[in-house]
Amino acid sequence: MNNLIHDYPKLSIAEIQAGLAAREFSATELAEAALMRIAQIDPLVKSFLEITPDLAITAAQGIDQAIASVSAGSLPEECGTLAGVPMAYKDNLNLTGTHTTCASKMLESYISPYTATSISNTLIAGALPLGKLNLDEFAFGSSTETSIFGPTHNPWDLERVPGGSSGGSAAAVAAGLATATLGGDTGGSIRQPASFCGVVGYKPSYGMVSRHGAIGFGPSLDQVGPFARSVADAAAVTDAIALYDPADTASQHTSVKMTDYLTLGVKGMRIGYVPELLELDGLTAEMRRADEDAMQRLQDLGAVLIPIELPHARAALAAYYTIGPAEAFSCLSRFDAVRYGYAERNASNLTELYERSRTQGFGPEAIRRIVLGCYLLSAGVIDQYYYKANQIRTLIRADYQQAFTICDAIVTPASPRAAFRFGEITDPVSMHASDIYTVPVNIAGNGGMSLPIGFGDKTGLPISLQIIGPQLVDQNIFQVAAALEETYDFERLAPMVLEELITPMSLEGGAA
Amino acid sequence: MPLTDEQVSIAVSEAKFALSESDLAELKVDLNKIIESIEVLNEFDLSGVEPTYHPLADLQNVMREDVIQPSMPQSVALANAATHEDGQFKVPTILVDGGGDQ
Repeated sequence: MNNLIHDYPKLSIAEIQAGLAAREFSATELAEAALMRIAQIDPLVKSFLEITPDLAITAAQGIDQAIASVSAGSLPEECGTLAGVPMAYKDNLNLTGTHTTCASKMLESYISPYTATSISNTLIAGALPLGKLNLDEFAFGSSTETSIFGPTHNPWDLERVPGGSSGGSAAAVAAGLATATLGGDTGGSIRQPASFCGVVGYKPSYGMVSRHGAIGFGPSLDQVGPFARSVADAAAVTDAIALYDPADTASQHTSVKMTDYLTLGVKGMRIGYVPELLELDGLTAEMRRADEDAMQRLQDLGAVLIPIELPHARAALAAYYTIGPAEAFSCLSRFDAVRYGYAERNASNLTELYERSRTQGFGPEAIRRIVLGCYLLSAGVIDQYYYKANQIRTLIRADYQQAFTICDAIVTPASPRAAFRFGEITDPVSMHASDIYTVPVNIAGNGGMSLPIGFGDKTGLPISLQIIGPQLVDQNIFQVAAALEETYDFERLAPMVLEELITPMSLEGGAA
Repeated sequence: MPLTDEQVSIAVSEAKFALSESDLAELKVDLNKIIESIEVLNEFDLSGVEPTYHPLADLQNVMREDVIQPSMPQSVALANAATHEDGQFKVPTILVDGGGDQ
């Protein structure tokens, strides 16, 4: 058991399944090891908002029973592709019987009456649900600092933010608390925290993964996607969740399996890069050096690098911070204190109930974006910003479509810089700028992945490359990412949680 | 164009918030910074460009078969409500100034 606690975080999904088949460990032992690690390490990282040991153990026992029915060396057919994989979920995804708080006072007491399709698909595939993960309030933010439960800490440096909004989902994987997690990405909320925490984070093309049961704020931008410590693990989770769902009207029928594209290599692939995006003021020198080194590696593997232009990318942030708040104003009007959510008890009429409950229930960043969206949609203003933002979306989409006529994938930095310190960025506009490389992809509806490519030569912190594919041709992303990942050899688990905390003494203490 | 005090107050009221004077003043400063940052939208010649409201440009009017699906039991749907009575959500007085039933 002690060995498993130590080794479990290093196991890939394939190794977990091989270990279960070979009877080296049981699913229940895996769940117990994962829960013990969370108990030991998460008080420092603070990635979990709720831990669900009963759900994890029950799921594990079901898998162990199924395994007991077949002979050693194999897994029964009813074991899915994620059988025995400890997973956890961003706390804006509903899971029946758990709190789904969106890290907001508004939903602090809300208990999910149903399960999001994305979570449900992982459970059908055999995942062990460990719990729910921290985020910026209602996913408004890039650092998890707006969570009312307090921020998550970056496992690579506890004084720094894990990124956001899916900061808990990224940190839990980097700290070896879960093998994979789910998050959501409206403007970079998977890819930016993945970059800050040195893990793989993938936002699927719009429509690939169901948003049913995800409490999003931007329905034309939102996607649910996985975090994992390797491209292969991210592919396995993607294959389990990228299924058609009639409950999400944007859901697409896709039959491609990402796991089929991991060993094809990139020889002859045309990979676009955008010289203008490497010249942006905010891009740190270490990030640029690492990205250029990654591009050289792709060339060495036989890919053809092609300089391309995305002329309207510079308007993407403005379009995003128009469309996002406008949709948030509309989406979050559902929080009326009547059907669910924080309600002020002493309101004397309905308007007072709305105003008092919403003012008390939402934090400052949420109020800022909702009010902004209300203003942007008002008569006389809507043509000036919202309409134009969606015209810009037409142009940004056309830029990508044009680019993908001459290349198979595009690479850019995932973030202008490595993880920043708590409190370092307080101005909302500066905070928004940290999404500059990721938001155009949401505006266009393409898929994008943050792939760890080592550590900054100045800061020593994790650094990532973003790989973007043609819309709904996300297998190109996995093909490039898997080939590039092979050229690197570095530890994916944050050292401070890997080495210093897992001592024999703490293990004995934890086991008792 | 920077927002005026009145425009901020109207938007806050329309979005159903009740903020103090100092919160309104702070919000106005933040909103104007953001508005300034999105002015770049006005730097492009957009004449003749159709807007795109979601990324699946060909997708519209998604329908399903008109058949009854299983739905959430009433007790579950009411479980998160602050107040309910006789199987229904309960709200305070809707009309004020003596215009409605109490």
